Amino acid sequence: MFRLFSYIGRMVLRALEEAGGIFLLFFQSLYWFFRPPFRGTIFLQQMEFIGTKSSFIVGLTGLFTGMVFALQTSYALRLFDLEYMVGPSTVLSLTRELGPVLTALLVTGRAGSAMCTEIGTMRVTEQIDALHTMAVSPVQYLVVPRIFSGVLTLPLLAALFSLMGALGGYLIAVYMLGQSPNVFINETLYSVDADDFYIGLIKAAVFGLILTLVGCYKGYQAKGGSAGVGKATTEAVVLASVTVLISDYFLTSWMY
Amino acid sequence: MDVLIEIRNLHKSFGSQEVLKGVNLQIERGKMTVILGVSGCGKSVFLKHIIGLLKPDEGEILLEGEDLTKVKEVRMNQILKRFGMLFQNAALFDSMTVEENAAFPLIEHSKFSPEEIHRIVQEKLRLVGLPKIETKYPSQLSGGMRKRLALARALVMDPEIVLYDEPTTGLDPIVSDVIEDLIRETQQRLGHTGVAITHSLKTCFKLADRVAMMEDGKIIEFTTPEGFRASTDPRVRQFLASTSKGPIKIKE
Repeated sequence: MFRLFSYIGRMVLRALEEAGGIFLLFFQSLYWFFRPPFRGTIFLQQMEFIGTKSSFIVGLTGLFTGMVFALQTSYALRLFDLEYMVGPSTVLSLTRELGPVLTALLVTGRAGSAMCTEIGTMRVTEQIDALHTMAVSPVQYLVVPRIFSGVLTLPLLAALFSLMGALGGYLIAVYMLGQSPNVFINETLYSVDADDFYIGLIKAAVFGLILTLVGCYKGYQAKGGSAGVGKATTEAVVLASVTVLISDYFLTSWMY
Repeated sequence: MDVLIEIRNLHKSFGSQEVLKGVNLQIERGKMTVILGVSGCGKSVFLKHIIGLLKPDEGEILLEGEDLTKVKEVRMNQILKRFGMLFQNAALFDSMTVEENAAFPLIEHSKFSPEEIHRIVQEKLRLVGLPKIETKYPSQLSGGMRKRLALARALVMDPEIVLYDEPTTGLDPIVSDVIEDLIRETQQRLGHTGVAITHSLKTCFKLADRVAMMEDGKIIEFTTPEGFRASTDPRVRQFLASTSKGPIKIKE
């Protein structure tokens, strides 16, 4: 019984310590973000890595998500003779939920894990210490550009996801279910507000912050050679994904 | 004695393990001070304190009277521009080429034009004897070449103080000798203050103007190389005799 309590206590302490570390890194990044030197090239490289290079996989996933969503909802809506609602239900789900969340999970797997591995390897091979000894703040040089790029590119990627998803839904509704293009477009435009769209984008920006911050933090704390880096990367992907999903609930209940 | 860095009563623990137990040392300007000790005696931790990678629990590190353990990060970054450091495993940036690695501190901190940076980097690469390999990546270099490149990077800002972390560990005896000569030669030519840590007697005697021996988190002997050879301290005698029998016990 005592051992159970001590185990739970240790887990809670570890979680608190980690949360504290992540917040600390966040505030350090904010501090260094506003200090010169500003390294434009590194920012652009990170935007390319997180944004441009994720766009194909995000677009492809968006297309098929929209297609399968339209297909599935059409079965349910047919029961109530509401098939004309396929467009609105698909697009609303995409812009409010699926776009930001699935994009965040995809980018976590693709870029969040990569930045954790890269920073973790730099940590265990003393490259981060070397940056420090050369009077370059490792947080400013490594963490700030990644977080900044994540916050900026995730909304764009989520918008791409939703757009491709809407296209997928349109293709299914019009060419498979035989709906008229006008019905799809008009019903969708009638039901979907700008709010639905931009709140999704705000959520995506928050997810971008979470996944880059967690990826950088886990890499920064990595120790114990290549095995340690592998462990840190796994933890980063799990922690970032779970945090994205949990914060999604709270953001949604707060903003809508 | 012209003291550049003075370390007073430095203490550091990791959890329940006390690694530094009150280190006192004076580092003389323009001289090479070698800190000698067995693995795990705390010398690497000590070196990391000098350059601010670790903060002590207690004690002072005075660089011309300014306590480095108390300064803020922005001030520390100004001070660090006076330092160069050669890491044990070179710690080169593996995403950058040889030239980009050596030029890194200049690109970050100097106002030189790209042509001037190129010229300075070429000069430093020549100084450490690296042939024309600017476009290669660190992973394509041998251990000795990586050490040379790391030395070029450490020297590229013409630092006043250079720290050497186990400069010959992991190199074969011949390459070790070459690197030792190179470190000694560049230090004498450029006139910077050097602090090296090593467990190799040969490296120590090839480099040192002053020898400090560290054992169990304290400096137990601090003298000239000749004085060190003649020391009567039983721990120094054991180290010089390179034997496991004596007062120094290795914790397995």
